[in-house]
Amino acid sequence: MQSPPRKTRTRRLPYAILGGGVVAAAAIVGGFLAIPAVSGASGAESSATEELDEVTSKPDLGAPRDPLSPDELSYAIHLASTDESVPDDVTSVDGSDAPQVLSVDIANGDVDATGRLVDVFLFDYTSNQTFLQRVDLAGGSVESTAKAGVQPPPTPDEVDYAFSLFLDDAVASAAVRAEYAAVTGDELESIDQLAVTGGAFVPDAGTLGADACGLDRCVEMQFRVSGGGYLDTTGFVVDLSAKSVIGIK
Amino acid sequence: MKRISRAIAVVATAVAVTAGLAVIPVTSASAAAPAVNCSGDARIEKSFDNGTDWQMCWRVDSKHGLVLEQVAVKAPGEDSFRRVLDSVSLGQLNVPYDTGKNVWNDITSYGFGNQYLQKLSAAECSTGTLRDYGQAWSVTRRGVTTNYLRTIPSLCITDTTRDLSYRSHEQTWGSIEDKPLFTATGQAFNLTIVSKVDWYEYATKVEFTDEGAISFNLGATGDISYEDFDADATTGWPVGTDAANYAASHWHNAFWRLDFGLDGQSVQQVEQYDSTLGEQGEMAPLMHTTGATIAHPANLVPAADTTWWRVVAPESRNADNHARSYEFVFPGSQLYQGNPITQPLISVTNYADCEQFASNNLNPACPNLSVLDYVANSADTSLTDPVAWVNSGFHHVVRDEDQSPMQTHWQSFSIMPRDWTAQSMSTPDARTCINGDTGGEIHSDETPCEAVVPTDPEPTDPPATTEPPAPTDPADPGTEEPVDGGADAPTLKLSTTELAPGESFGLEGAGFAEHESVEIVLHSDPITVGELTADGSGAISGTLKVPAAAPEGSHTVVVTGAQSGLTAKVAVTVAPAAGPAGTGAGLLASTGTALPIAAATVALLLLAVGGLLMVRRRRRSAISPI
Ligand SMILES: [Cu+2]
Repeated sequence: MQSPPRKTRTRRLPYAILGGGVVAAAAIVGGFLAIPAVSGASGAESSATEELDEVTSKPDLGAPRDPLSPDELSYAIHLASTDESVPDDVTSVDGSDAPQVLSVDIANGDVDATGRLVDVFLFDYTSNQTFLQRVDLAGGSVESTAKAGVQPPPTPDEVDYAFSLFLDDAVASAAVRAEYAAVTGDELESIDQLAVTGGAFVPDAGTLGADACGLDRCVEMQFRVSGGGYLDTTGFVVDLSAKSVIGIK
Repeated sequence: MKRISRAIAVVATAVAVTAGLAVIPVTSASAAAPAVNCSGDARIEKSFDNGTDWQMCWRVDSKHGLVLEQVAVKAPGEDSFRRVLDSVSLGQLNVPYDTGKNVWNDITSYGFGNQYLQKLSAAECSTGTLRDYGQAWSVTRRGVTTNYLRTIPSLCITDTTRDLSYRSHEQTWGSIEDKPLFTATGQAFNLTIVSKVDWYEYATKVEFTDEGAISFNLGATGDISYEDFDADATTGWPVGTDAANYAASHWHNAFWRLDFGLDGQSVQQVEQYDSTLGEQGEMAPLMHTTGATIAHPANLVPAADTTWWRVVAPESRNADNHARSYEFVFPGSQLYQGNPITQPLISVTNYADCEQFASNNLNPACPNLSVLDYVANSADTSLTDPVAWVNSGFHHVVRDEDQSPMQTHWQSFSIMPRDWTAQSMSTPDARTCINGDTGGEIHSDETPCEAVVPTDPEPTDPPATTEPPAPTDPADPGTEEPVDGGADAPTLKLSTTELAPGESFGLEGAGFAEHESVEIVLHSDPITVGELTADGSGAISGTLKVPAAAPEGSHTVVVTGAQSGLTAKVAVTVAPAAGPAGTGAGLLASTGTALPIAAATVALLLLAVGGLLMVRRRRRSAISPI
C-alpha cells in the first residue's frame, strides 16, 4: 500500500494503462484515511500525481544539485532513452520497443561539477544490460556505461509485470494461492488483492536454483494481505529476462 | 594537588577590553561566497546562537535515500565556511538473519527513495519543519513510456538542545561559595527521512551540533518480520506467549559513505592512533599513544578498544598551527563476522566516481563490487582523497517490546572536529583567553579573562541590519574622547555603542574623585540614564538601561562627576525601539546579536559588578532558504 505506482487493472487486461498513478495516489490517500487511530498519518499531504509531458527540447535548468523539475526529469529520460548508446533493438519488460526506465537522480558524481548532470538508469531486456546514462542537460549529451549482470532495484512497473507472470504460472503460484485462500477465504486473482513489493534478486553462493539470475533480471517479491499478514514468497523468484518463475532454496 | 595562582594584571584586562570593543568581526557581509550548488528548499542553512553556522544541500536519491552534499561549517569568528564533507549518504544496508535463511541488501535491492520514501505528517515532525521531495516513476507499455511525479513532505528538520554542553564553575575546590559559572545549553539540528522497506521502517537521521560535530543515525522501527518467527533458542528470542515462537535475531549492517572534503584541501590523510602501556611510572604505568598514517586504501579494524582514527588535512591549520581534522567516534559498533564485507569497522578508499555502494555496486563501471574490491583494486595508490565506508552494525536480538509497532532502535556514530578551531566552537567569550597552559586559575570576578588581542584593529563593516553608522572614531569606537586632552582626564568605556531603548549596557570608567556621585546622561536632548558612585580609587562600573524614550539616531553618553566636575563621553547610536526579532530575516542572525568580542566585554563588566553569574545569550536561530 505504500507503493504509489500500483495500478488498478485486472489480470485479463494486464498491460493497459488505466489512469496510471493518479488512481494509485487516490487509493493511497483513501488507505490512510480509512485507518482511524493512526496518529499522524492522516495529516500527511502529497501533491497530486502528475503525468509528465514529453519534453524533447532543453527546459529551464535548475542549479546543479537542485531536485529535478518535472520538465528536467522528462527531458533527462528523453535524452537518455534516445541516445545512440541505446541499442536499436532495445526492449522493455513487456517486450515492447523502448528501454525500461529504472530511475532518474541527480548525478552521483563530483558534487562540485557545475553542469546539470543527471543519472538515468535504463534496462534493455534484449541485451540483458543495465545502462547508466549520465545526462548533461545543459549540453544535451550522454555519457553511457552498460553492463550485464548489474541489477538495480526493480521499478513498480516491473514488479507488476513479475506478479502477472507469477500468477499466470498455475504450478508455481499454487502454494501462494492456497495460502491466500486459507487466510482470506477468497481466491487470489489480481494484484489488487495484495500489497506487493519487489526487490532485485542477486543470487549468492548459498542460493540454489537461481544461477540464471547472475545475468538475468530477477525479482523477489513480498505479498501482504489486507490485515497485515504476509504470504510465504520465499520459495521463488521471477526471472523477468526469461519471463519465468524460478524455484529457489 | 598543586595549586598555582597567577594574577592576571588588571591593566592588561583594561587594554584587552578596549581592543575588544574595537573589533566587530562577525558579519555576513564578510563571508566568502559559499560553495553550495543548490538553491531554494534544496539548501539547508543554520545559524546557532554561539556563532557556528552550517550549510549544505540535501536530496533524496532513489537508492541512497538522504544525501547531504557540500556540507560546510563556519566556526564563530571565521569569515567563511569550510567544507567538511563533499557528500554523505547510506551506501548499503545489509541484513542477514541468524537463522541463515535470509539476507537483505535494502539499499541496492530496494532503495530508500522513490516509492519507499515515506510521506511525513506535521504530527511526525512535531517540533520541526517539513520539506518536500519528489517520487518519480516510469511505466513502459507497448513501446510508450509514461513518467509520473508527485511530491511529498519527506524531510523533517528539527532543532534540538542539550543541557550541560559544558560547565566550568570558578569555585575553589571544596568551597561552597558560589562563583562565576560558565555553562550552556548546546544546540543542534537534525535532518530525518523515513523509508519503508517491507516490514521495517528506517529513519535516516543526521545531526549537526553547534560544536561542529555530525552524528549519523539509522533508526529501525516498523514490525518484526512475519516470516521470521522461525528461529530457535540460539538463533532467536521467544516473543509471544511462553516459548512457542522464536523471533529470529538478525543484523542491521548499515554502511555510511562519507566523502571527505576537509577545508577543500587536495591532500587529506587518514591516521590511526593506538595506545599501549609502557614502562612503570611513579604511580602507574605510562601509556603511549602513537599515530600512523594509513598510506593506502585499507580495511580498518580496531586493534583494541582504544584505537581511533581521524581524517586530517595537513595543509589546513587552525590558529594554533594545528592541522584541521575530523575524528571518528564510535559509541559501540558491532561487526558481523559472517561476511568479510562487514568485518572492517571502516574501509578507506580514494574517491572514485563509480564506487557508490558498499556491496552489490550498481554502477556499470564498477559492477557488483564491494568495499573489499575497491580497497584491493587500489591498494598501491596513495590515500589522499579519502572516502570512509563506515560499518555501523547492530545485532538485533528481538524483545517482547519490539512487537508492533517496534520500538525504534538506533545505531549511530559521529565525527567530531579535532583541532578544527584553536578552541571549542562554543567557547564562552569570557574564556576566549584560555589557550594552552594558563599557569593558574581563572577568577573572572577578580581578574577577568585576558581577551585575545586582535591583530587588525580596524573594524569591519557593522552588521547590515543595524541603523546608520555611529559617528564614532572608527578605529576606536566605544572608548573615551578626552574632554580636555589632559593626562588626568577620566576614562569611559561602554560594552557597546549600539544601544536600543529598554536594553541594558555595561559602563566602566576611572579617574573620578573618590566616592563621588557620577551622573550618566544621554545627549543632545539630555535624558538622564542613571547615576553611579565612584569607588575609593575614583572608578565606576555598572549596568544601565537605555531609557525607553531614547530617540533613534546618533547620541552621546556623557558622564559627569558631581564634585570634581570631570566629564567623559562616548558617541553611540540608538536603534529604533525593538520589535519582534527578525524571524527568517537572513542566514546570519546578526541583528542585535551580541557579537562575540563585544559580548565578552558585556560579560566582563557584568561579572565585574557581580550582577550575573551566568551569561546566556538570547536564543536566535533560523533555517532560512536563500
Ligand atoms: Cu531489527
